[in-house]
Amino acid sequence: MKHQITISAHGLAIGYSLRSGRRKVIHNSLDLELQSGEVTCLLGLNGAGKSTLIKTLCGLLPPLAGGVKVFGTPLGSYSHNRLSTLIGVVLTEKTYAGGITVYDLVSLGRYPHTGCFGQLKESDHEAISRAIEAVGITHKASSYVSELSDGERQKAFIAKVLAQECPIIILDEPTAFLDVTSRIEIMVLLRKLAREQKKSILLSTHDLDSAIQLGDKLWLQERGAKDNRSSAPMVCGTPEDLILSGVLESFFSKKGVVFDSYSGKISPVPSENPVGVDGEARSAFWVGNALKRKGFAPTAPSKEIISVQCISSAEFVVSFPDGETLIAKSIEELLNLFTNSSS
Amino acid sequence: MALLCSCNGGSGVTAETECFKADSVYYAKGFEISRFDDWIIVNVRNPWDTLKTLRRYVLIDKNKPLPDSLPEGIIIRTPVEKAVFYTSVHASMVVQMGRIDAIKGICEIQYVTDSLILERIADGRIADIGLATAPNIEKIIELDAELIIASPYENSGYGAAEKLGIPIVEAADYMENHPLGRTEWGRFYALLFGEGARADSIFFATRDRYNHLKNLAGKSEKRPRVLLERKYGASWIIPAGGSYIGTIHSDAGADYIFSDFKGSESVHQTFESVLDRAHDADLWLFKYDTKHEYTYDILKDEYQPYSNFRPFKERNIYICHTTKTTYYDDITLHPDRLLEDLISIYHPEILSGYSPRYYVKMK
Amino acid sequence: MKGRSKHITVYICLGAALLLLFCGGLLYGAVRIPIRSVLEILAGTFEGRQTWVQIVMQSRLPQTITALFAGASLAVSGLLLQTLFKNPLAGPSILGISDGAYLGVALVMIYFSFNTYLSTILAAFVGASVVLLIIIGFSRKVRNSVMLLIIGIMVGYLASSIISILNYHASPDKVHQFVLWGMGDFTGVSMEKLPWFVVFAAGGLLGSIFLIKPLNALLLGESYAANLGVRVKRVRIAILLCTGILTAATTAFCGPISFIGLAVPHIARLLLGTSNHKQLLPITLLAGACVALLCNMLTVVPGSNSILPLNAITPIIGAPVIICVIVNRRNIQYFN
Repeated sequence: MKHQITISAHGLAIGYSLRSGRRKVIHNSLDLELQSGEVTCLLGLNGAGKSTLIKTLCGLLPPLAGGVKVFGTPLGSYSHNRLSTLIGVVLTEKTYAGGITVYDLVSLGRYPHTGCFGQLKESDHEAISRAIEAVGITHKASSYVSELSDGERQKAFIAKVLAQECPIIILDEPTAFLDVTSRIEIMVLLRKLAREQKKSILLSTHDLDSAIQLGDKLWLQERGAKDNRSSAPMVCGTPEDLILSGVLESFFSKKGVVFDSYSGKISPVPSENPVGVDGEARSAFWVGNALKRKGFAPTAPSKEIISVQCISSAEFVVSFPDGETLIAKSIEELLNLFTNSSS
Repeated sequence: MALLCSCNGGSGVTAETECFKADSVYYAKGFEISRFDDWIIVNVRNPWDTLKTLRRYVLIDKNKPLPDSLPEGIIIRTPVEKAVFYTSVHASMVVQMGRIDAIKGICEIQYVTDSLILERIADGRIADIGLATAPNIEKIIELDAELIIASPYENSGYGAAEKLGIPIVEAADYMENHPLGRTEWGRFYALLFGEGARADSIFFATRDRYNHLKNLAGKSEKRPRVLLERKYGASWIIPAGGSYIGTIHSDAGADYIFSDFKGSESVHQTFESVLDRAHDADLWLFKYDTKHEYTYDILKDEYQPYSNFRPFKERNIYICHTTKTTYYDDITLHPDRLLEDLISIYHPEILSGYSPRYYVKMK
Repeated sequence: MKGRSKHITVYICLGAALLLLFCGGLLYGAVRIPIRSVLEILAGTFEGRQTWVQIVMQSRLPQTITALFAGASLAVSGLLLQTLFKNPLAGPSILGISDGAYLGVALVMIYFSFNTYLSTILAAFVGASVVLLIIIGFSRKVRNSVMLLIIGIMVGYLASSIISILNYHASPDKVHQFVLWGMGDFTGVSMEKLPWFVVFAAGGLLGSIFLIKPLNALLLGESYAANLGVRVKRVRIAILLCTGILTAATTAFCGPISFIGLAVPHIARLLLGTSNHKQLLPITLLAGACVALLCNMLTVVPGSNSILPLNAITPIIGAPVIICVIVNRRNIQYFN
């Protein structure tokens, strides 16, 4: 299965042109590539310029230097109409579409394909229905957009982009306001689109878990250039490569936060209070989680430190260095023992 | 206003101790003149609420000493030698009574038509005071004016001028409904300049001439049906039968079509009402003040259905340009002249050889 | 679909209302003409008072057609602006276009006192066009539509201030004339002038129909619209042009008429429930025509000698609608 390069950027500089002719460069000399059949997740802290990058790649903002190519042809040389059949976006901007039905909203995705009055043909209606079904809001098709919950609204906009039938889909924080189940639903949907329809999908997100699990590639965007000095280049790669090479760890190693390359989670910097944890694997993991929360660092058990032996999920044996042992029947009890002993 | 007069707390007039005689005012309803030994009192009625007095003026001769107990009212020492006029018409009246020297300043000189006044404006003897709504107060002070004559408007004051301490005469002549009523106000103004007798004789002459003409017109048997004015926007503004215009046209011997609209307020009518009622009028008269002269073509172009009126079809329309003629001055000073003009249109046989001053036949 | 049948009902009701009000305009007026006579006049078989024929054919008929087109033009113009600026309080007067027309007429009437019919119309058109061109010029430079709205409002204020100065210095006569023009008037267009007005109004209305598709896209905001292939800057200019022609023509021929442009799009949205311009635009057109016809009829008070100015009646219909909309904001979907 040959993957095609859908969007590529060379020496791209993104930012804004200010009134006085000056330019605010957020990033310069970016070299990026998007491939078909893949989900690429753009990660970065707030203010790193994710939205700017996204808008530049889909043609909404002009690049300050360098160029963006779509299917090998410069973005600027495409006609507006042609481009709208190639790239579809989902943004975070406020819209005034509250007064139209979901069906009407999704049918706007057919805009590039319809004639001058926007008349919908049979094939258009089919595309719209398919899109609505794919995101799972068929039961809300005749509701007004203002009546939807945040998650449903987001899905509706994704349905619109699906109806647009573009090979490239770019989303700006599509899961930002969604609940946990919706988030996963969206990510799974995007994965499916990439895999089954060979779409090229780029999304910016804060959801590290989903990105690592479901993203084929990660783009890590550092904070932008300050005072016209060069910004750090973007790092791109498969999530696992980035984790194992330690890049992800160093990306997140700031201000009391650490990326744990074992669990794939970001957590506060571990304390220096070691507690030994051993026993049944699942219980041991969650005991470790609770201990971390309380400011302890779970580690291999030893005689010099307090150790916890997990017999089962309802029986824990705590051994103190002075030889004393106590038994706890639940993690809450266990934690109480710790706080009592430390006082 | 009350601030300006030197009220001595005197309770005013008592009938027994001072003997007074009230001048007979024949047509004007807006003022009354009462003569006393030491002063003349003129009461100007409130034109919007005729039961109330708008102002009371107490005219005291300059040459006589100021009496100890003064009646309430605005004190004016007469004869006035330096006056400022907000309207050119009043200034013209003063010229008529031979006191052009007392005119020191006029507002809105672009409306002055009197050649004598224009001459004096040109050589600086009469100053331009600016807009009547916003007169040049400093100029008035500089002129050392003793009096201001202005037209009153409902519920509006005179702004900074009130604080000058100069008496302001509120000339409500334009609210009179009878043509001679307006002219009669000249008798009041004349008292301010010490020309009472002269003004009276001018007034009586005008009155007599007016009535003479009116009688002549009344003798004629036929009374042509007359339509007045035009449509502005959505409404045709119809002067009422009891208004100034209604009166003068009726006096000229015409059957003014809408004379049954009582009172003096104009009525806004739709075009279709006017067409329905007045389509077969004998004559049509209207006033205008655009730069171009009106013709039948222009009138038709303005609103094509005008051509349905009989006077249009039979070419019997008369028009008057209000700023190129002395129309506005003369309706106050010389209503008899306007009457003459109208009679020459309505009853041409009465006045032969008369050349019209205001209304000409439209081309 | 449930929505569909509701839309059809609205179309039918409005169509019927339009027909009724159009007939009303021909049958009702300050002069009482029996219905039968009016019908005979229209059929050409009437043999009676000639003035009645003149009244129906030369006054009522052109008046009614003018009201129809003026109402439709103003309403559609208001809708276009409300969508372009995403502001429910936008109306044709907000961009200063009608103020420009006002200023043009003020200059001609008061300053130059050159008062032919043609000069008034031309002056209104030129004034409106000048303001429109200024706005369009800024539209190229200003990215944000809200900024454009503010510029338009400021231009309007500027025009108003110049008009105040003119009024201040003018004679009462001229001011009176100008004030009367400012009251709005559907009766000023005679049958022979009517084709001119209809051509401009129909042109603007037709143009707006071609804008339905991009207008819907603009509901999503300019970024989404651009992504869907809309050439936002061009569409903006097209919308401004359409609205400019509609407003300029109506103001030139009928004087400035308030409220219809602001209120009728809301009436249409309340009736339809949707903001989809495919239905909203035609319904706004019809509703605008109906409202104007109604207001025109209401200027003639039965039994009285006098008539009411048009601009005094339009707020009586318009203001309650706006208040109702604002009070019910939460329940109305298009605000959310």
